[in-house]
Amino acid sequence: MTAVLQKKICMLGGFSVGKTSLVKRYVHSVFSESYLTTVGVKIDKKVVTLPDRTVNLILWDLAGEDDINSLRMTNVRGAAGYVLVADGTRPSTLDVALSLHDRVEADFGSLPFVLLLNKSDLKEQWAIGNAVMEGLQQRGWWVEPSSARTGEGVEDAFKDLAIRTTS
Amino acid sequence: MESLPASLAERLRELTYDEQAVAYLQIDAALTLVGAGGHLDNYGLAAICLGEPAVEQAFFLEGLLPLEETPYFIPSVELDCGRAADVHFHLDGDTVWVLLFDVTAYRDATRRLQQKAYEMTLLQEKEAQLNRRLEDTNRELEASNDFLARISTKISHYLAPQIFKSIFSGQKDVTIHTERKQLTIFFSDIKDFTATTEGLQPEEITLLLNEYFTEMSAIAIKHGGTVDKFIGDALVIFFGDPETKGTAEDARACLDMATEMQRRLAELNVKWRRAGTEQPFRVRMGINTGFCNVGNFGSVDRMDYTAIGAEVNLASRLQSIAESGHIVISYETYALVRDIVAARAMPPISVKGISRTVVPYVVEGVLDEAGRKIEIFSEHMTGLDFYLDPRAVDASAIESIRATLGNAIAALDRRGGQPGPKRVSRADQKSSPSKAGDKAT
Repeated sequence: MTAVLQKKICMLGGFSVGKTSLVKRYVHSVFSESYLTTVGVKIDKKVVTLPDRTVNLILWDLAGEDDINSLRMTNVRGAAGYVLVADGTRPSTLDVALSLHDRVEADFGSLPFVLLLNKSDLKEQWAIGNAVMEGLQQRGWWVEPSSARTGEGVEDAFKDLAIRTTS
Repeated sequence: MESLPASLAERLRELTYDEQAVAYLQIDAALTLVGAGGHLDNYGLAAICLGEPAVEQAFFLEGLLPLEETPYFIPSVELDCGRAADVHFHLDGDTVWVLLFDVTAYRDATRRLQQKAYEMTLLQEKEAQLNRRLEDTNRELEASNDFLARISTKISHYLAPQIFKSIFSGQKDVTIHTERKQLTIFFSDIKDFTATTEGLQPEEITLLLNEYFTEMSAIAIKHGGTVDKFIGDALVIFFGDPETKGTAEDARACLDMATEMQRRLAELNVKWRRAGTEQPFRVRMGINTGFCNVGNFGSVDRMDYTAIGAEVNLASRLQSIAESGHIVISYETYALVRDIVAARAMPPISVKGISRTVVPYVVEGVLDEAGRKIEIFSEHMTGLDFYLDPRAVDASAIESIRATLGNAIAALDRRGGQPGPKRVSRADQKSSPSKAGDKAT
């Protein structure tokens, strides 16, 4: 068996921002309108083929952050990178994502991550200004709008993480 | 377990090992899977191969080996097969043991509760968001209302107040539409306006005219008249639309307005003369009552709310035959106001568009409540600016007025038939005894 690079990637964000839907879109190319909350963690695998290597992304889709259920930091142990997800129609979820970023960085140091402002298909309800996104990009962050419904921004984000966690 | 009675030990084995579908993995120091057992098939691990790297056999182990902390526990891990397991790790010497307990039923129950709580929170968030949007929309609405109010206040200065009110209250449609109504129409005009204002700068003329129109409009509005338009120095006002008190009352209101305008004009002329304007405004007025078309005239893009018809033209004509300082009314108006004014018939005239012979009446004074004539003297010409309303004179001033008038007659007698200067100069005016007369008005 050829050695395959395998990396643990955590999905982090507030509840109902679309973490599970993003994984479903990425791994199974499907999207469901119905919302099913995640309890604990759901683990999926996605094989990413890069020009010079193959990377298995082990996606840890962690239960969303809320007032009662705070992230168990031990679940992030061993992660090579993470995807921060915020819901572009609910500005408060961006604050949750930023706070998660700070907590992960405090416990595990600087890991590769991307920030997705999800639900970009809901343009009429969009509530995060371009200036906010550009401000974060100026800090050198990968910040992109995404949509689990249309697939916008999904593939690119994971591919970028696959490259950065293995180079 | 050995210390437990056999029956309990067996029952415990059933409750945990069987009902929670316990499975285990054994991993050595080289991270190779060296052992596995229990209900592996429950977790989709039936096909794992011993002797291979552990993380390739069970990918949920990625990143967790070697163990940094013992014991280590990850609750409710949903694996590829869909089952949820509590995963316990512990280190025994160089060996890492991994125990899996099936918690799918517990996970599902927790999910149902969690789901309800999140849906509730999402609803609350949505409600708060909608409220914020509603508040924003309200603020925008208030701002645009304020803007509209400011604009409509500006527009109001271009319209008669009654017309403005009836349009903005929705009573009147802004469409090309006219009605036939009996109106009393008033025309006034400044006699020889061009000659009067010849020596004035345009700015002075503007000031004078604006003051004149402002004062006259205020009197018109006070009496319920609709200020139709200003045409140069002329003023058109009608009574009977959009508000009417009945044809007779409208005509009387118009006459009351006209006499009050005369009074005010006399005061204004005194003021202007004192301010240095040599020639006062001498105003002629004409009033007629009859059926006219009133409403919106013009194009769909630019309309005027006005009255038109032969009866309107007649009011204009009556004004043109009036002496300066006088009011000329038609018989039709006179018939409605004869109990409040004294008037003298003039020679009949004919007017284009009106088949009857028109008999104009020149107003000589108003009547008091007992029907007695109250004479009002109003004569305005070069060298004379005279207005006397005996009712309005203060009793204490009568002697002074009498003296002034006596002096005035004596002065006229002394002057005899010699031609005088064409205009009264300012110097003459200042030394003239007419000042006493001014006071009397």
